[in-house]
Amino acid sequence: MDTSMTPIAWFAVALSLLLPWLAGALLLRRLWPDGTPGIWPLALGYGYWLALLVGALLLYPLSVLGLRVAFWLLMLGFALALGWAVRDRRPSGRETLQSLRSVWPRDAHELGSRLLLVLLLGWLGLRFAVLALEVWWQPLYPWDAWTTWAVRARVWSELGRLAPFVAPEVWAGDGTGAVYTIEAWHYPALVSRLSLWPTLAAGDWNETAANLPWLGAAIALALGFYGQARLWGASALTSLTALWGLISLPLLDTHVALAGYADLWLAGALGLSLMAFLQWTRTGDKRQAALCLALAATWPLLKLEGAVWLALLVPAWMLVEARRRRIGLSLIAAVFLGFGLAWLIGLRFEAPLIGLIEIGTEAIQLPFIGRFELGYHDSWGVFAQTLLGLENWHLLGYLLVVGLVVALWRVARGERAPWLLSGLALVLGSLMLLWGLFFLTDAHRWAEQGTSLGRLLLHFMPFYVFFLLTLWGRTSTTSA
Amino acid sequence: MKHSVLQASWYRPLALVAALLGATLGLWLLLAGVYLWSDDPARPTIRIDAPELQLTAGEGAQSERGLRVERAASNGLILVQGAIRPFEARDYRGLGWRIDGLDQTRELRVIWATSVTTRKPFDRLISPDERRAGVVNLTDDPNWAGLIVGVGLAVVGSEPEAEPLLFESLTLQPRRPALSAILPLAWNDWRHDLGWTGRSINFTDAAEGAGRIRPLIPVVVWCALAALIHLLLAPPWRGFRTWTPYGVILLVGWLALDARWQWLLLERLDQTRSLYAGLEADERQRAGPDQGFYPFIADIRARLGTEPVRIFLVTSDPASYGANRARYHLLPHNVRLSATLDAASGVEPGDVVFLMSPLDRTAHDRARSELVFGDWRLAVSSELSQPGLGTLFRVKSVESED
Repeated sequence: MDTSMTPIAWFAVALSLLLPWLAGALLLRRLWPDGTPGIWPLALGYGYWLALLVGALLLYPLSVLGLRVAFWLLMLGFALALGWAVRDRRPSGRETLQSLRSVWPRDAHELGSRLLLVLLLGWLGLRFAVLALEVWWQPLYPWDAWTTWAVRARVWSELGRLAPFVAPEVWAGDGTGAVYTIEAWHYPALVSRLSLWPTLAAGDWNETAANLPWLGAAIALALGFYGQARLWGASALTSLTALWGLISLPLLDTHVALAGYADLWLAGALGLSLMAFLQWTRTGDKRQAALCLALAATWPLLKLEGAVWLALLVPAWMLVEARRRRIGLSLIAAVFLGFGLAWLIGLRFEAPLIGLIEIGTEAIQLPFIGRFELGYHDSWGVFAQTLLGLENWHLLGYLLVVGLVVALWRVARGERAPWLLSGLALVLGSLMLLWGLFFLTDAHRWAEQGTSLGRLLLHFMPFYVFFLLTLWGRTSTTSA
Repeated sequence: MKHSVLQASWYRPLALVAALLGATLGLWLLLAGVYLWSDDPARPTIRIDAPELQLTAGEGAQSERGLRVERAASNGLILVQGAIRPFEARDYRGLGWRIDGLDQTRELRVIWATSVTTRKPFDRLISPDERRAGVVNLTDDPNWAGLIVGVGLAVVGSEPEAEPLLFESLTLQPRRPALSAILPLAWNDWRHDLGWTGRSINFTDAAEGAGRIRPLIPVVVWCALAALIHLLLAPPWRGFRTWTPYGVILLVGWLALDARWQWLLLERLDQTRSLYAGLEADERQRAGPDQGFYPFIADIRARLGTEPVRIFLVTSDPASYGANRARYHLLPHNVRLSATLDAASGVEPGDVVFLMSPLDRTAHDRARSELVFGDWRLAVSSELSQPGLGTLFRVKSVESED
């Protein structure tokens, strides 16, 4: 039952989010030396994402003990991790103050820069305050939330166990009531467990509590983005301006205010992962590679298309090193040729444990992803409208087009920086995947109805903003 | 321009300011053109084609090209009326027409009726100039006011041997705004907001249904104009190779859009606050869009108790909003949505069937206390009922098919 909550319950809910957040952030913080610009926001951002995702993942195996027992065991684990993370780290008040002052950019001498920083921070603060109040007051609103993601979370929360969700025909054959069914019973369960997480602290189902992880995800995404921007070398003002560009996106804000969909989670996990990937291509920093891989592993667990988006990493990785580049390009060409051949001949077989794989001129069917009927559909109009005509992204669609032109021009002029090649491969690859999905399959109907194209573009927007920032930084220094 | 002027320290900021101001002026001129000459979606040009024309005096019939009037009435009058929905006179300035065969010997009059004067319509003689233009402007006519419920044309003085007339169409011409009204109209369109809707999660189109402009396009045009003007004033081939001014233009445009979006968010938050602030979870459902059926669902939950039961929710449209919201509110009861039931549905004694109105494929045999799904019957006892919403049944036994 959606219950009213006592102050103690709300305290427990806050603890359920803050404790993992702190533990994750401080564990990550230990990986970098003091004085690294942007490291605290990065640790806070990635710490939330990794901790909450790990917690939600571990709920599944531990649920044999009962959900609430599992939850409090994990919270104990986070508390212990926090304790371990802060060992040997008891900075004096003076050191803490100095470390906070180091966050304030040393290069912001001019009054104008400081004023702009304050204004930007204020604007972002206002945005988050408005979104937070929407999450606080608005009942569960969007369709897929109360037909799919929150349905499972609510059932698990009220039953105290992870009741299985099965296909309707299996449900019909089970008269015990031990299994449940929904139309999207086969969707990954991780997002539902993220929604479930704070309600386990509350002791009962509550929509506001269930939606709070979305607010935390947006704040953490902002922190992680800012941290990565600073680590990239952008000034505080530039980083904050780029962050404003990201957080100001209307469709992203909507996914926070009307919490409950999985797309924000995939956007954040994908964006933060690819930002770390780009850092790794530039510096070879293995910590960034680890962040990338850890978050990338969650993509297929968040949404079905996350498994498809994983394919983007392969060509991006192959383009990183010069000696691998030719091999990589050859492999990519071979994959395309092989796929083309399979498509022409027609490939159909049942893979053990995985399921049916079919590649042919009529349809493509891949395990865990689904079946798509093939055929060309002219979706240019709706594609252009979604990216360039509607209010989803402010001016980002246009900026992305300009950015791609600039990046391609730089590559054409002989620039071969690994991060530039990989970043371009990721952006172009994502657009090609979306093109393939909405132009060559029956998914074009979703584009025409306007139900999913915007949300799939949202998955890539945090990375697109970061990629444009990397281009701007180089462009602004070379043109001065 | 002199090299010394271009190199002056004040030139770059001045060029940027000039670009911003020039773009603003250019945008205003473009918007003026759009508002003056394009249709307002809320008050579009209404074209009444021949099939929608009614001949109320005279003899004729519909033909391929239009309404062909062969003969006038005995008094020499031909009266053609358009089938229209009532409209406000202030939204439309007059009537246009396409008529073949009308000569100067016959008088043409426009006729209209208002909601107040339906029995005594007004008419006005159309001048030769207006006949040549094919449109009559009625804005100066004091009787063109209020709610117009009928409009048409009268041809007076037709001789028996006169050529047939072909009425192809009538057109109601919307009023064009005055120049002074353009800025307020544009501001209204800029601020137009539908609020949170079911489609908000898929795309942001707050201005849908606004007058003429969608907010993004004017900003894009403004940015493009400003960039172009700056390019002309400070061209790269004259040494102006910094991207900063273009970045500033972009940021100003972005800020304009984001300031609007922030304003819309605040207004939507205010709506959310007024609906839900201070309410407990259950009270929010009773105050929200489900208020029509939530109390009944709450009664069902109270009747069923806390132990989850299997509920077969039968509704004519299992994909509908109401059915899915009912399922959500009934959780953690184990609900299955369907349009009908049969032996393969897996219904067991002790299960619950919730027939959600409206239904078209189920009958309740009260005499035998059975639900009838085609050839399949379920013995049930009625638990709870709410007219217009549905009925809750407990399954007693499952009959085999007849």
